[in-house]
This record gives sequence, C-alpha cells and structure tokens, in this order.
Amino acid sequence: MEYLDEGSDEAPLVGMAYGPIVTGLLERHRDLIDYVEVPFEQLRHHPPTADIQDQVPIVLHCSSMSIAGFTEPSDATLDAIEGHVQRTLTPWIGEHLAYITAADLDDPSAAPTELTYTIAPQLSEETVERVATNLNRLRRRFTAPIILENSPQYFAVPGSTMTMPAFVTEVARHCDVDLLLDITHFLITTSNMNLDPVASIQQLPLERVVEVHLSGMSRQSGRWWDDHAAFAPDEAFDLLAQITPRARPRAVTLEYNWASTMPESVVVTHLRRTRELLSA
Amino acid sequence: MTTAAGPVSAEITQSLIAAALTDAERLHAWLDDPAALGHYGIDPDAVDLASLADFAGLSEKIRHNPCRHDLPLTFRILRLLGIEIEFFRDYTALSLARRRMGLLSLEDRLDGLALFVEGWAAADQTRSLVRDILLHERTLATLSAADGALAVVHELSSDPLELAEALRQRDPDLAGVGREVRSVVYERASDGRCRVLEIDGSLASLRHALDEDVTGCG
Repeated sequence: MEYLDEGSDEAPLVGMAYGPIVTGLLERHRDLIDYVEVPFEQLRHHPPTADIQDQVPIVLHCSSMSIAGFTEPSDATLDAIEGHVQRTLTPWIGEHLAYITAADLDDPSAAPTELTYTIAPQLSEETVERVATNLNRLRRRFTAPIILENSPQYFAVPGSTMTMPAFVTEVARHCDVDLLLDITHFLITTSNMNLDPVASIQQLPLERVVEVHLSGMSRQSGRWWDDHAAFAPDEAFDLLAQITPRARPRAVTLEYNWASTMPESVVVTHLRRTRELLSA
Repeated sequence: MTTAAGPVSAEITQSLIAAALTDAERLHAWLDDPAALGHYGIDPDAVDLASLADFAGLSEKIRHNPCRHDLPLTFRILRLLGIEIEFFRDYTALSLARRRMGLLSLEDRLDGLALFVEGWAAADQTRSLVRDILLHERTLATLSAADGALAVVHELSSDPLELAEALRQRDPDLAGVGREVRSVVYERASDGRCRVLEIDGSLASLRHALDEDVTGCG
C-alpha cells in the first residue's frame, strides 16, 4: 500500500482525480502523479477502486456530509467515511461547502430528498452558522481534518446576503477551517455572478488553502458550467500563479475524470505545467 | 431577500431547490406559474427557475458520464454544438421517471438516451445529427455485446459512418455531412461479424454496404 509522504519543505504535491484515464496515466507517467484523489462514494459503492492504493497514495474526497445542509448524514455513512480515512491514511478529507440532501418541501418529517450532485447553499449568516454547527459535530467523527471546497455558483440563491468569496471567507473565519480552493469553480462563480476573479480571489483567506482543484469549464445555455471532460483553461493556471505568493497549497489536483479518454499528451503537459508553476 | 414574514430561510430554500431538481413536473408547474412559489414564502422573482432547470441538466449529464465509453461521438457532437446542458435538461423528466421505475444500470441509461433522442430530435436538422450518431453508437455497442445473430433497422438523416468519421476529426465539418433520410440496417452475423447496410426504404433492398467490418463489433 502507498501512503502520502508530505515533505514540509518540498514543493506541493500534484495529483489526479480518480477516473477512467488514471490507470493508463499511472502505467506510463507514474513519476508525474504523487497521489490520486478518490471520492468516498466511489470507494463505498465500488470497493475494488481501493486497489489503486497498491500503486499510488490516496487523498479522500467526499460529497456525502451535506456540510451546509440541514439534514444530517447517517451514522453508517459517517462510519464508512472514517473507515476509509483509516484505510487510506488520507491527510485530510476534502468536502464540498454545499448540501446533497434536503428536507422534503411539503412534509419535513418525510424521508429527505436525496440529490445526485452537491449544490451551493444560500450564502448567508444562517448558512455560516449551520456549517459551524455541522463541522463541530462532524470533526469529532474523523481522525483526519475536514477541508471545505468552494462550490460553483450557477444562479443566485434566494435569501443570499453575500457573494461566494465573502461566504467562503466568513466560513473559514467563523469555523476555523482550512480550504480546498477549486479554481475552476471560482472562475465559474465569478463569471456567472459578474465578479472580478482576480480581485475576488485575493479576498479569500489564501493562507488557509490546503489543496487546489483545476478542471475544465464550458459555456452553454448562457452561463459557465463545470466540465471535467474539458481541460483547465489558461485563466485557471494564471489564477493559480497569481495566488501562489500567498497561498502555499500542499497539493494540487487535476480533475480530468469525466471522459473515458482524453488526449494524454495534453494531460501530461498540464501535469508538468502545474509542477513547474508550483516550483517557481 | 426578505418576505413579509422575514428573511427567506436557508432550509426552505434548500428544500425548494431540491424539490425542483428531483420533481420535473413540479419544476415545470412553477415555470408555468411562478406565483405558486409564494406558498412557501419565496418571492417568485428571486428564483431563477430556468437556471434551475439547466442545473438539473448538468446533474443529468454527470450521471451519464459512464455512458461516454459507449457514446464518445455523441458526447462530442453535443459539445461541438454547445447543447450538452440543453439535451440533458430536456431529458431530465424522462430520466427521473425511469429512475423511479428502478432503471438504474448503465444499460438502462443507454436505453433511456436512445428512447429519448427519437422524440427530442423529431424533424430538427441539427438535433437529427445527434440522434443519428447516438443510435449508431448505441446499436454498435448492442451488437458487440450480443450473443448470436441480430439485426436492427434505423431511419437516419445522414450516413452514420460519414458522420462518425467527421466527428473523429480535430475540427469536424458537420455542415459537410450529407443529409438525406435513409434506412440503415445494423446486422450481426452468427459468427460475430457486423455490417452496417443502407437499404432502399420502399423496397427494403440492399442499396449499398456502408461498411463490411465495423470496428469494435464481434
């Protein structure tokens, strides 16, 4: 089994999100990949995925805690997450600053509504307080720290009183929690909500960024969307370069995990480009 | 945002968005009559229901990532045309209904897309290209996995092999793909060999073989 070995004075690690192209990349370019980020949900529903740790360390990602939500995950789910924390020895658990379950709209006593994809919450003080409450409860369940990932914002959420950068900043401050900065999510948000990405990203507590995500984005139906079947745009790498004087992430993950194939030469170029950028 | 009753609860907002994403009929009812949101203390003007419908499309698109292996050119043409979100948004209602019926496997998802695309494309020239390549790829995959002889007939608006070849190019010229309604037979022989044949619709006679040995089949 491979486990992550972080050298405190070394350049940040570079990894890939688990997906169809990872196995081939590991066979041919193992030296370029320090770790693979694997969703807890993938490990839970397809346990053989864990075998990849025979080749490469795993960093655990998660979508099941509904950390900005009002419906708590089951004990069985939380126990299963901790089981994978202990098996993988992940240095942290990256969880979305979002929700994936919600109470039934008409009958709160009914079974909660389960979604298949995390959603950005209302950006408000009420949600910040909710995240704090959830984090206090959840942190006690795990032997690895939780870090929170900014969600992409596709539309204004009713009742919101702050921008996404202000919300993330307030959550980090109020909850004393470190961050997973998804730069592509950030670009999608600033593009869709008419914010200046360069100015907005400097508002974030960049010193708290432990991990960075890079992926593609595409514009359709009048707005920008997350797209892990596309390559990260130059703007994402530029933004990463701009924040590195303040942010010193311990890991940067390329999320190219939706398509069954992607041009390997471009993936390799992006892995090398990321390493060069972080070592500068 | 506030209402007469005070600030809009974050919890109610989450429940409302979740309901919209998991109940296509309810979302469409709200699109037709946004004032109905007032029942939940939500200002109709504060909810971008069209964007919610598009977001449901993104969620469906992601749920269908496992289909990319069998339908790579279908996903490519949707991207090239910039209609991935539109396609999956329009598919959401049927997809949710199929999931409620327990149709959750990869095969179920592929079948669902093939079922949906026929009605979605109808006579639209652009959408018909999506239908052509989706049915082409789906049928080849079906024949490849079949045991024994099998034949499937589709009425398509283009030569699917010409369309597939165009989509494999770095810069596909979709406008250059010939458009003419034709009947296409996908045939798997008992020895595993597959053929794609174009036939004369009225006579059901062989016009010409489009390909004698389709890659990936048999």
